[in-house]
Amino acid sequence: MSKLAIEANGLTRYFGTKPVVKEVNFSIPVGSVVGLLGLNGAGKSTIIKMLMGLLEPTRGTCSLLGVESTSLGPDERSRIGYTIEGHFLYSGMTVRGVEALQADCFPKWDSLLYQTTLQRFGISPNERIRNLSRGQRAGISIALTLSSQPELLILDDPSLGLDPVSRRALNETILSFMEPGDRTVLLSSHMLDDIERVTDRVMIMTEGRIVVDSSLPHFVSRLSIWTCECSEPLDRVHIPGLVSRRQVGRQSSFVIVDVDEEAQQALYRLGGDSVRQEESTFDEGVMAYMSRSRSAASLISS
Amino acid sequence: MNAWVRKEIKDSIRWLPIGSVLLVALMWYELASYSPNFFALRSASLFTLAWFVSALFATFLGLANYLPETWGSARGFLVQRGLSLHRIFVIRAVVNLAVYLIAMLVPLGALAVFLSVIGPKSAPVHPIQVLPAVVVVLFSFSFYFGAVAVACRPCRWYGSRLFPLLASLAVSFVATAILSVSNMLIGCAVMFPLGIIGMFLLANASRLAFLRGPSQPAPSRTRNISLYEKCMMLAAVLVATLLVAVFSASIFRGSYSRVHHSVGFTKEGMPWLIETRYVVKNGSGEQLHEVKFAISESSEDVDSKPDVPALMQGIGFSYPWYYSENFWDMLYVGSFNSSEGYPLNVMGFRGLLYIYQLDALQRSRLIAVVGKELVSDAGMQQVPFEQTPRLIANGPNYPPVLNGLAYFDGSPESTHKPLGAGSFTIAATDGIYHVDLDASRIKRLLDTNVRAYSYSSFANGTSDSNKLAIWDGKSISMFQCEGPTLNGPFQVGERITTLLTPADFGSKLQSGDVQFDYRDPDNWTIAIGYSGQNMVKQKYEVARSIQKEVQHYTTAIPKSLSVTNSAVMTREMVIGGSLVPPVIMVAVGTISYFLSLEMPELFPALSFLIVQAVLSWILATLAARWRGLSARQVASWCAGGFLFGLGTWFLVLSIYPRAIHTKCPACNRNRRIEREKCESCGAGWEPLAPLGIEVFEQKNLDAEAIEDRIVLSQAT
Repeated sequence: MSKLAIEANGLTRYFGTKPVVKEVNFSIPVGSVVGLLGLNGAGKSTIIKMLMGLLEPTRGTCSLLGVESTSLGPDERSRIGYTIEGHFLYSGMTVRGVEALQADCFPKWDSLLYQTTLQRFGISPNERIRNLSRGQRAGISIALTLSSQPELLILDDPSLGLDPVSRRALNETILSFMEPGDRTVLLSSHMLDDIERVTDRVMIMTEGRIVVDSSLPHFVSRLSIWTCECSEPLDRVHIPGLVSRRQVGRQSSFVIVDVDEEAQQALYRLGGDSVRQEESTFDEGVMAYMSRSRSAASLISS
Repeated sequence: MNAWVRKEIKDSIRWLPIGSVLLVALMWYELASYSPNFFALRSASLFTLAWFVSALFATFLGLANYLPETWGSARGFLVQRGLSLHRIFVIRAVVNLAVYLIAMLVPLGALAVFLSVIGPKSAPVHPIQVLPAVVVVLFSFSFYFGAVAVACRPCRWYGSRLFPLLASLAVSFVATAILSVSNMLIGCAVMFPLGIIGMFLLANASRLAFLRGPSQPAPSRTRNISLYEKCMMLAAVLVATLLVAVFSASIFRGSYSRVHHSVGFTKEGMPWLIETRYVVKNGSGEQLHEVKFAISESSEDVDSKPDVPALMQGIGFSYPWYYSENFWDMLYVGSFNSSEGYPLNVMGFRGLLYIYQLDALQRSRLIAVVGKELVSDAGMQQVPFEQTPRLIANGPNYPPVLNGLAYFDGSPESTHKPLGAGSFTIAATDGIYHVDLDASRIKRLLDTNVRAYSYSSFANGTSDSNKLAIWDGKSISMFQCEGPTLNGPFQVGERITTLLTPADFGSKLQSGDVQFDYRDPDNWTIAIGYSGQNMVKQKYEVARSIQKEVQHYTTAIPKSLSVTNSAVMTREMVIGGSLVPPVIMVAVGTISYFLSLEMPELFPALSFLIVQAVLSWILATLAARWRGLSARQVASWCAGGFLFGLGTWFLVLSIYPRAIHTKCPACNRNRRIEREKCESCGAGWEPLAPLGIEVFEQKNLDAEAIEDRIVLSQAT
């Protein structure tokens, strides 16, 4: 059995009286690239902060590289790369100064990689951080994370603020980072095409719990998308495995997991001959899960 | 690590000018108020100023260093690196200490240089006056650690967030020991080690708050709070309770009426009770009236009589040294006019007297230094007196010139020669001396051990001559004195008489419990007061001589009246006594017992301790249970309540977070959210009910696939 890079057991976190992360269990073996998806407030960043030891779990445990997150020391941390949501940097420092600061704290620092990444983002080493654009700061943040040559990379919304070219560069960087094969990436993002392109496994969170933890092909294979024009009120019909329903004009679209005969009969009762099965896609599947807790319908029509 | 050190230096050094400029500005303002002669400049005022600025600057440094990291993602960026938080804390503490010391000590050093330039020739100042300020600056660095704890403790600003600064206040307070007039060395020897221990505890508490701070503990989890942090919060709560007690007591003290009783004696030696009624409003007292009653010697009867005889005026004794003299400041001894009528100020410092003359612009210059053996200019080696002597007679009493001020024209003569100096008489521990400034000479008039003395007009009805009473530790010797007059200096004549004193005369003299009346060798009274059960003066041992017939007897204030006195004390101290933490009250009581200090307000206050302790015990228990602590913790906080008083409940609430409960699905009773098992039924947490839409792939298959990929990757 392979070693685990990340492990969470019964991870629960309350803010006040509200549970934000509920009984989360997962494990990520060394060498995998896992995407973590969910709406804002679903609990992704809270999980990442607990993994990084920045938040104490209310219940349960989590560990990185075999060390419990609350006990991560400098040695373990120097093996982990972490891009922080919002790409925080010390704004008074120069790009070169930030590098010196990081290089001092990470024994495997790759200065060449840092310079190369900066060039990709078109950043001069003498610039002050406060004078850079949001995208350039994101570039520095990614460069700092990757140049420490971590064994485990945890990226919390790294593409925030990146232009399409930079996003592609980021994806390619992650793929090349994974080339040695013994590195692990946990990527939290809202960019579904990035996730689809880069990861080989996806976890989807809704309302503080993980509802999907699967490889991408397996995930897509378990879902089916159906459309119809409904003749009966929807609330009178129970469809087993219904992830979400979306209405555009008179047309209703249903995303169903592990569709069975009962679900199909319910669909035909609703739509009769208008029922059609569409091709399942990753995007539609993820959107279906995400929109369970929040409507994704047009703001004008709603 | 070097890069991190450089970053911290850059971050902190930009604040350096703020601290320095603030200190310089306030010092400038302070010095300007004492200019041009600096007679009133005291180390205590520099100490207070330095305390204020250093506490403010250290707090600012701590907050500027750590508070921004509590915002947004800054903490994550700080934590995620191959450098331990402990090391970051140490680097920051060292860097900020250096910045702090430079910011504070450079201006103070400059001030010391300035004082050494002008003193003592142009002003009665000395660079050592700055030393107490330096000491308080060192201890005030505790505010930095307090501020770190403020920044890192996950508490509400309107709750206990700022409390660590009170612990810092307690640590920096130890520096005040250096200002102690009577027991500076003992005070420093006791207080400074306590302060260093306090600083160490505070540093560790703030370090642990910083280490744990980023992890933002769960709201309901009973934090494994360290002993350091508990000590810090305990000190803070004790200080807060004390402040509330002092504030409440001061408000209570603001308005009350008071009856005070004392005993006086007629010239025949008969005791009379003096009842004085005061009313105090807003802290300032006003005497309403004074009534005198005769006290029968045989009983405790009190009889008010309309024709009150004149009571004798007790002669007050002085010591040939100054209680108010400290190690740092020149002490104002007295002033008089020179023979040409110009004002002279006498300052004392470490057994020497410095004579300053003022000019028309209020500038001063040193005209002579008086030592035990000679009168000289500044800079000459002098033998100092054992203690700074007291000025007992000025004079002759020259009349002032028209404007009372001299003019220094800057010529060498004017800077060295006083404009008519004059003479004066001083009492030292080894005798009475006469100083003649014109002749630059000092002469011992009386060679005797002087433990206390009294020099005043002793009205005997037959002569206006003055008498000097000297207590040498065993007896009081009376001397006839002459002068000083314009025609002749002060002169001590023959010894008139010697009166033996009881063994405890000295201690009673110190506590102000001695009344002494002297008319002539055959008629005199010595009355010594003694405290009774309520620590109120209840009886007087009287030795009196009338026409050579010496009698010894006891007279007492009636018990009913002494109760009135103590009742006033009790009312004053009700609030303070019932708020001050029991452990502090007991400590104060113990210390005062061993030091034989008379604290009349202590005993009434002690009676309120039991009420306070019981109430604190109940409140602390309730708070501990409310926070969901274990039975053992509740028991220890019960004891804490008993010791630490009413603040304990707040201490418990500030240390432990709120306990959050949810319904247990198994027993439907409340259970703590952070515990794996229900406290009531022992049930664990049930798995979340499936939504029917979960997609979970077999993980072990996934893992095997990845392992294959790694093997393949390594092979290629």
